[in-house]
Amino acid sequence: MISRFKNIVLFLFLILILGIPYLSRLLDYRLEMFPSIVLPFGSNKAKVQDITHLSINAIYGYTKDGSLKELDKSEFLQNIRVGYFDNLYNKRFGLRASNPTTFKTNRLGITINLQSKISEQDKERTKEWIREKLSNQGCVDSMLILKKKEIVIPKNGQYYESNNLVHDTIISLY
Amino acid sequence: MIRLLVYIDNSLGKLFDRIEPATAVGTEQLSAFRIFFGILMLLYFLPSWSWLNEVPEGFFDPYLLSFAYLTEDFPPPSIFTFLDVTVIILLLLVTLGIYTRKSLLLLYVISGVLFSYSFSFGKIDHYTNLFLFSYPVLAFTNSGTKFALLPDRKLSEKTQKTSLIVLGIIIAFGYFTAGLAKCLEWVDFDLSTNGFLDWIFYCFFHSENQSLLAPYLFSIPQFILEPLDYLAALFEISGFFFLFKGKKYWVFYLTIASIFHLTNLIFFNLSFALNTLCYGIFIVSPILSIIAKKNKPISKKWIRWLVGLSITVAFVKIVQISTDLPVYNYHNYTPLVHIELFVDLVLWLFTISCGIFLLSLGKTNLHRVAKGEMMK
Repeated sequence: MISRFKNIVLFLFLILILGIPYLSRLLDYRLEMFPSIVLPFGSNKAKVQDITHLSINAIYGYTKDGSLKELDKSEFLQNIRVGYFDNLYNKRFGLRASNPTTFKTNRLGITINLQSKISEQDKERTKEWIREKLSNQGCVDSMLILKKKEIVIPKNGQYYESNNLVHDTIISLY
Repeated sequence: MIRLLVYIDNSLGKLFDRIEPATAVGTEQLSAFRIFFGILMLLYFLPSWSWLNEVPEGFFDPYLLSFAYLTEDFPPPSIFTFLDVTVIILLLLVTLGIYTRKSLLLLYVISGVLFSYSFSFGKIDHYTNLFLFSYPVLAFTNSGTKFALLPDRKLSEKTQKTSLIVLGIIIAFGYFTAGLAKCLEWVDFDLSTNGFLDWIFYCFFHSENQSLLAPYLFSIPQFILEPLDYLAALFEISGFFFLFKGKKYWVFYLTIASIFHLTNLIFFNLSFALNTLCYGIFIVSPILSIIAKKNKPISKKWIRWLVGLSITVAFVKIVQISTDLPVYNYHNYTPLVHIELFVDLVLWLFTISCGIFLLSLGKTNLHRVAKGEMMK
């Protein structure tokens, strides 16, 4: 029977490898499958205005003489691309007191249960890792400071960093 | 019921038959491409996952529907080391043409599982998505039956054609998924918002992709931004149209896709160079075959030299991995990230040149070259 309807089988196979992952991604970005044939949706839009103010996540440490120093993201993350920085920053580098165990999909609002993958032991090892990175960049290793800095982009493209630093949080590493 | 199924089957058959001329590639071309694929993977694109050994467990945040979610943490270092070495050996087997089919399928499974760990920091990168599927697609062709030390059992022509049709659909569908969302959001005839501008901000400031011509993005006049939104959305959504129109149109689309990636690389430093190995099946493989036929003795010498180099590099990398020395891997080896941009640029230029050369041939010659026949 199957050999008689080879084209239908092929079509069903395509639905399986293409259609289902796509529908899943449409439901919510957190339901994206890997591996799958879904390319970057990236359909956000920015406001076109004379002056744009952009909020950028940044991390800081204190040097031994007590001054605040911005850490180099690339050096901090080592072989992880800086493109992942915001995701890690938003999750406090795995050091949140508790991680959400459910979420509702953007479309249809289906509740999805998640399993937390980060144990207390994992957190301790992560703190150790962050301490090492702070020391490597000449900072004291007791705390990691998360802030949001502001980039101002005028119409002529001559962007600059404003002095507005918005405090986010301090992660204690001991 | 049976009559209905027969009707649907025939209709689908006609649909796939319309794609077949666009995606047809000869066995000799595929076999030559297999060697090119293997050499490039070993010399440059080699994936390695040992670097994940240094990532703290607190960063482990895999997506629900990925293999990595099935485990509680990153696998132990010995697993990554073992699989890194396995991947190198499998790529060597593919290059030399020993158990090619089985090696390609194993590579797909191993890479599919391990890349899910590379993308387990709360975001999935898409630079491997199309490329990964070129493993099984090549496996279900006769790419391992020629220029091979231990040739594979030959599959039917029909299977090879179907496999290439599937790859064509995969590429067109991949772009469609990216393009549809942009069409709905970006094509809004509203000059006060812009999608391209959002990419500029995201890539330049958030991802810190500031190399090559990225700083010049801010010199782009605002009136150009809106048409760029429409062009990108239109290009991404139109893959199926070109796929159904035939060989020349499909080669044209892939050439434009390569130019699109080159532009993204130069301005956004977004490197999708692994896709050259995917598009290359259609636009690089015929060129390799032409080069090999025209300069047989020189080509043989070069291929031997490159295969020899690949074996040496593979051996050195196996030693490095086994002895915990830092090993280069594509995309996640910080010291060479900037050099990668330039190599990717060369690869895209090469792919674009292949596409332009194919387009310069007449329609008849294009079909003949793709199937490995002599040009008129």
